[in-house]
Amino acid sequence: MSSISIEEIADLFANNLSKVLRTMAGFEVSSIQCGQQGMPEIEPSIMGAMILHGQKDAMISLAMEDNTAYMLIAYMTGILPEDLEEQDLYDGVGELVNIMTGEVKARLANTPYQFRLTSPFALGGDNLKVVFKKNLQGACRFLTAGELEIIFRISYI
Amino acid sequence: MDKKFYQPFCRSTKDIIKEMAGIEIEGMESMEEEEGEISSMGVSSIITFAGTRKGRLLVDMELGLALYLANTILGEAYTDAMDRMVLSTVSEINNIVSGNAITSLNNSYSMDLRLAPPVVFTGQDMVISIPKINSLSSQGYTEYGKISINVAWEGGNK
Repeated sequence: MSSISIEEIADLFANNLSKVLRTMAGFEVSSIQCGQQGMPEIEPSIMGAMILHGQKDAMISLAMEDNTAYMLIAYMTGILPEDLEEQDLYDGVGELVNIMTGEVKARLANTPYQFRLTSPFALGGDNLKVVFKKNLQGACRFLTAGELEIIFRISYI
Repeated sequence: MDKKFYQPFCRSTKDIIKEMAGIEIEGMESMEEEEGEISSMGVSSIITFAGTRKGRLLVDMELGLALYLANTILGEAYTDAMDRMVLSTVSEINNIVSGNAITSLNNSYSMDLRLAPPVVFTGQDMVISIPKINSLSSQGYTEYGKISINVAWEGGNK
């Protein structure tokens, strides 16, 4: 198998997330590289993440504002947004990371890029900041569908 | 999972922090089942390990303790706990604590565990939620602030 850049791996995850959101919630999602013109400033207050063990270990994350999380999890579960509790959001965002990652894992199985999953986790709060070592390779995608805005990141750690 | 797979992380946290920064952690003698989400005290670092089983260690501490550890270990005088070097110190402490604990587990139980690099999180009123996995927590106290660890193994606590 020819080598795959981290940008291509990010596209694999972003495309799979788009597919999951279309299937589970009926959203038509578009994806651009972060930092491109037209990408709005968002201040994520909830983040789902997972560490991947492979030839290179990586962390992937999905970050979004509360209103996106409420909308997304409401569509995914069929529970009205006003009936969702905070724990439902954390569980839902963690599960979304799990689902998105599962298919990418299957696609990369038996290649040099295969990886093992770990348990997803979710973070909530204001001014969330994730700190890695300096100069690590990473890639970022901004996904939108109407008012829904999600930032996907992958970083080799 | 037997508590013997959790206790090395308590011992290692106390030993490493004493060795690196010369401070005693009071408490952290026992571990209690953690239910639901964990409210961060300021800075959190998570590290995962995988071998015959998969697990992770979450180290959480108050900002004052993070600052004291960084200043003592690095010999600097940081005043902002959000400084990258302070956060990196917390990350490195987690790495060393976990390395020490999993070496003990590998030697005793041939678990073939390997660490992934740690990641540090900060945020205002940050909450950490780890669905579908049971975990045990232990609290410790120092004169510079509180510290807690949370250990989880996939497959549960039994």
